[in-house]
Amino acid sequence: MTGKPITADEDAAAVRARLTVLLRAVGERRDRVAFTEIFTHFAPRVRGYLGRLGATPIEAEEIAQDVMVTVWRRAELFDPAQASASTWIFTIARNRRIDAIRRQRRPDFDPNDPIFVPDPEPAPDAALQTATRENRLHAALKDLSDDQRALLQQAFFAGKSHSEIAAATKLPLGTVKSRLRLAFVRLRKALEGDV
Amino acid sequence: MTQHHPTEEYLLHHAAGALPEGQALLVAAHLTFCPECRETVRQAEALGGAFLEEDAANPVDVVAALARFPFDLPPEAPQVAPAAAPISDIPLPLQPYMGARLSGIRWRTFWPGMQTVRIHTKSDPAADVSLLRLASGKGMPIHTHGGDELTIVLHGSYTDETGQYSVGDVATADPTLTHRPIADAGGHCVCFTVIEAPLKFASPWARLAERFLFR
Repeated sequence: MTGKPITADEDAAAVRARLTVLLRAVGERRDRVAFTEIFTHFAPRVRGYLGRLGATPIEAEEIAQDVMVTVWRRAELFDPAQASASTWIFTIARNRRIDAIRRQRRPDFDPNDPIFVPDPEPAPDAALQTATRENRLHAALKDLSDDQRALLQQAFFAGKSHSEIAAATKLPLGTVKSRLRLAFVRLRKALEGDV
Repeated sequence: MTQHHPTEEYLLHHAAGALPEGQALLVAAHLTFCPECRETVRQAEALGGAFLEEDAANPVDVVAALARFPFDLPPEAPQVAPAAAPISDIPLPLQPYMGARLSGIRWRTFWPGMQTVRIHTKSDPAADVSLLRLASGKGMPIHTHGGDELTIVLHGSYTDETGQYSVGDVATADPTLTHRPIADAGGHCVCFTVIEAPLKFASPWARLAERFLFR
């Protein structure tokens, strides 16, 4: 009974570690075989994400292809100390979608800004820490109740506002807010290693 | 180091790509100053990555898509800092909207000691986004809000009933808050403000000024 989920998590963690290695191979030497595997894994997922946000099938296909072209051309910038492969590709898909809708770049901070306040020095094993943290996040996500997961997915993945979620679920707005907050606090604790 | 932050809700929605342009600009400006909130955004992005990972049931004809994949496109060069970055105290994400210098802004007087200029967001022209300039020691007329108001300080500092706000600090005001921000002594204060619904001024004179000048 206890053996199976752990094995599943370990398999998932192994897949994530492999995707990181593959994406690095694309970045370091434009490895087409590695990219083919990255494409096969992520193109359907990116397309599903775009569909969830309301893109038509044709738009989703166009933007997803554009996202994968960006992954191919910018893989050199992928830094496993900052994010996993799926998180990095999620941010590209998110930005591309906004670019496509608004025909302009998504506003974001620029680390080259002369007034940018830098992060504290990263730890020497930051890449390992990031991988460990994201594995813990996946495990914590599995531990949430189905309701909590669905709420989080609506808010942070499908981009629904709290009032839209309240209307769709017929829950009071305050309840939506407090449940989301509670769920995110749990996940943060997992990310920060407090559980 | 910034003392006042946007609520977690804004940071998470920024990470999800769900904020309207004006609010996204304000959050991006704050993130320029705040490593702590950037970490929260990174955590929310990791959550997005985790959901992406699980969302596998969308069959794509991978063979066909790869057959027409433009492998020949060259890598996009990593972005490097501009050779001579202009000295500016305005966060880069805001500069396309207001220029690189506060001294170049053409203010309109709204109230004695208070000037304003409307910022036009491209994707949402009706959005209420503006810059405010309070002279040292001067305050805004007392007001409440019809909707949430987000403010970031770009220059100087101000104080209201909820505390003191300096460069990079963000104030969130909701319809329950009645407040009177006053620029601190020692210099004027400039803020970038996004309002979900128009302010409600207590004074009829301020309401009149609002009708003629604020739109």
